[in-house]
Amino acid sequence: MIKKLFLPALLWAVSLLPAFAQADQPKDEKAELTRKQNADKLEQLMGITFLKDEQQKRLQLEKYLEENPNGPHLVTAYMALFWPVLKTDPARALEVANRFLERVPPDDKRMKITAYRFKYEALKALKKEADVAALSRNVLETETEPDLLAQMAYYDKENALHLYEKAVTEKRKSGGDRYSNPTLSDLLSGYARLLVREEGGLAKSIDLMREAIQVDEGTIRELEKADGVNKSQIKPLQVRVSENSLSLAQMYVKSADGKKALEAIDKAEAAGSIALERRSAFLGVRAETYSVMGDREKAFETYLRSFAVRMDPATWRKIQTISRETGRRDQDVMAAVVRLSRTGGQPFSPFELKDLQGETKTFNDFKQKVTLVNFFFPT
Amino acid sequence: MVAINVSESQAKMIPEWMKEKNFRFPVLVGATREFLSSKYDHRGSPTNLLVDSEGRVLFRHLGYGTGGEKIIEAEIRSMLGLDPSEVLESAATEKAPPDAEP
Repeated sequence: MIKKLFLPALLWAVSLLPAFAQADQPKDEKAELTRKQNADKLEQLMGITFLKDEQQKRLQLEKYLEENPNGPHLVTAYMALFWPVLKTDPARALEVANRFLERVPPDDKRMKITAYRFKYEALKALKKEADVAALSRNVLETETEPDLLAQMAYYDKENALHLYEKAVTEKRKSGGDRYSNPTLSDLLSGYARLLVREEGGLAKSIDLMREAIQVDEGTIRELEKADGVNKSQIKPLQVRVSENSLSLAQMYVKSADGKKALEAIDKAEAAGSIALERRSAFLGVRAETYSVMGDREKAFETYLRSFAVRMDPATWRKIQTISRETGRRDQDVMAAVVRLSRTGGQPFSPFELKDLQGETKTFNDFKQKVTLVNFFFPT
Repeated sequence: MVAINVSESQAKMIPEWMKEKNFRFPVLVGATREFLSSKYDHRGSPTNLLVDSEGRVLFRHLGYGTGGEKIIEAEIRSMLGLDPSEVLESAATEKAPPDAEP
């Protein structure tokens, strides 16, 4: 437990290290002095977070924050203080969050997000739903940072749509900045995925998702034209177009527009190479698309292909339903799964691993036989 | 059959688990996540691969539901040159649909 709580603080501290490294050859003595003081303070703070006695740790962290109200390492200290207190005394955690929020320098966007998160977490732990909503209204009124607005949507279902809407609006205002996170496409697709669950939100969520896809496609075209662009920059955008097109296809299925759904799922499959664990989901949406189009045979075949990749019980139920409706025999259905599961017959990579007795085994020990290799974990 | 453990942190549970379930198949340990994903494109558990005597992967399944073992059994039979439909017919009479994913 302690280790778990400590980890975020440690990661934060590690993220500061490059800043120290840059100052390796100081020209300015004052800067060197600050650097050294910061490093000493970090060491002091790490010493405190390693304390086994929770009470002592809390007292010392509070003392550190009292002595260093403007930092350095405010986030590290507040994280180490906040999470354990939240578990044992949420009212006190709320006080900590409030104090943290007051001290955040107005231009430190990342720190501000952390401070707001603490406040939401504390209010939720105290079950103060009205205060959560009030906090969101305040955030909506005073904050303009898209990242902050979108992240807070996670904490407040009631205001999530408003928060996302403002995040999108603010991001649009900031102009054509396509490369800083979250991108306009992130915000549009996030908003669309929330909105689609609301009654009457389907049409607008389709528009938002289409725009998200267009934004990324525009960025891809731009990158492809530019010189010296690393292909690895384009790949994640293609994956996003693919995943967003899949969501769009689901939305069209929901609105019973088979033709548009088919276009979207075609794009989803063409846009990026689909990871193995996602392949059955893509096939599942394709099957639903055929269902909406009234093509039961194609839907059936596609559900079978999806099931061949991943034995998903929900897919099996759909297969059974169509199977009953069309009077198919169960053994024929299962035989079809077997037929569709057959792979291209790639060679199995050899391995060298230990058995439970500590003896080294290689794949040669199992060769010459038909072997079922089961990747498992004990349950 | 050979079972390769994918969760190093749970490796110590294996001997008790084998005993409890009365499993006899060989179990291999020490496969890291990196090893599994780079060599076998491992994307989730359980994953089952059926390898023929030449060392080629002929079937691959991700996930599991009750009844899935019948499909795997039929695949093994087809690889051994036996009639796979025998097991499928008995599965059909048992009416065992996949219903749970661990």
